[in-house]
Amino acid sequence: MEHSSQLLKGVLDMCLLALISEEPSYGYEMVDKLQQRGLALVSEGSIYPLLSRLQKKGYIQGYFVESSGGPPRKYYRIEADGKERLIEWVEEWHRVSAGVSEVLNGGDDE
Amino acid sequence: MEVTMSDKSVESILDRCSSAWRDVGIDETAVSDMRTELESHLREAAAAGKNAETVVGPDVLAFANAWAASKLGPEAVQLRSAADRGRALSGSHGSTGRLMTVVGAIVGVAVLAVLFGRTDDTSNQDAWTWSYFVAAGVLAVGEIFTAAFFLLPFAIGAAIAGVLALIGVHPWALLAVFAISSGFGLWGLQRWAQRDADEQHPVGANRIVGMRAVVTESIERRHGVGRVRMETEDWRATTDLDAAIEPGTEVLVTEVRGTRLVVVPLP
Repeated sequence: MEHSSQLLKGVLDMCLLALISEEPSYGYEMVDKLQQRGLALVSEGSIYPLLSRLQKKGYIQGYFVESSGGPPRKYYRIEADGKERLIEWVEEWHRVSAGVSEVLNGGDDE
Repeated sequence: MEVTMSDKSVESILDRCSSAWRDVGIDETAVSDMRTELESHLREAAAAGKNAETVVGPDVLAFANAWAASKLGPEAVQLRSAADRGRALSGSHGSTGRLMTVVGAIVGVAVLAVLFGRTDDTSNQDAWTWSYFVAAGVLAVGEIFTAAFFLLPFAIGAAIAGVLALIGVHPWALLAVFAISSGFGLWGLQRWAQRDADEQHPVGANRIVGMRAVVTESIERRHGVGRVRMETEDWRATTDLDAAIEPGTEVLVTEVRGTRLVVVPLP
């Protein structure tokens, strides 16, 4: 598997949760926003199992909204549990990415 | 590989995904919701000039099954063991409804016969009564020896006609009651027997798809096959997904490919 897509796999659910916490969004729109911010997905549909798990854990809630000229769109909004979890995940991400940077920089202080 | 998505290819993808989801036991409401969500994404992607592979990847079935696995998993309400699938299938075919129809038809015909089919000419009534009861007896014995559930409805029809003959129903009405009772009884019984053969005991791939297993030897698509343990059975297994599945992982069987199972990990 492509290395960059493997990296993304580890944080994609956090990214989706972050997008949803900004404002309620639907699948296609989330993929679009990720791409705009520099993250490309190997397959767009790979977000759906992740959204399903986030919803199962109670972090987000899906709801259908009628759309003119097309099938209804399933939007997701963030729940209270999701907001809490997102903060934890983001802190964890900062810790890990700082650690990775330290490793890559050769541990300047050592 | 198509460059852009046609309506037909979108429908084809949606249909294939929907059947894959049903195969692994996802309920109809969820299938419908997932289909709508996927359709919305595919159409918007098509409008932006993207091809199908951009959305569902190179393997539609793998995509469908990965999504399905995320819907099922340990917290899922349905447990798709073979016995449960058989019960669910037979229940959904309205066997109660069929029984009610048969009983209703027989009772209805008998009531009509009693109300409108009485005769004052009792000269041959005893003969008819005995004839029907004897016929019922012979047919019942025949049913016992053949055990085909074929003579039974006729035996019951004859018995009912015999009883009605006792209370003075006209021979023509008796014949109608016999014919209609036997006919409905046969219909109801045949459907029940067929259901019993077809679905009560699903066999082969129908039984296995949708069941859970545990990985005993690591499964990785590129490195040949691994092994899983499903109930008491040991199977070789492979996956269409890229990531390796480690021993101890619970998986969902999505396909039987020859002598191997195709699985996806459950969350």
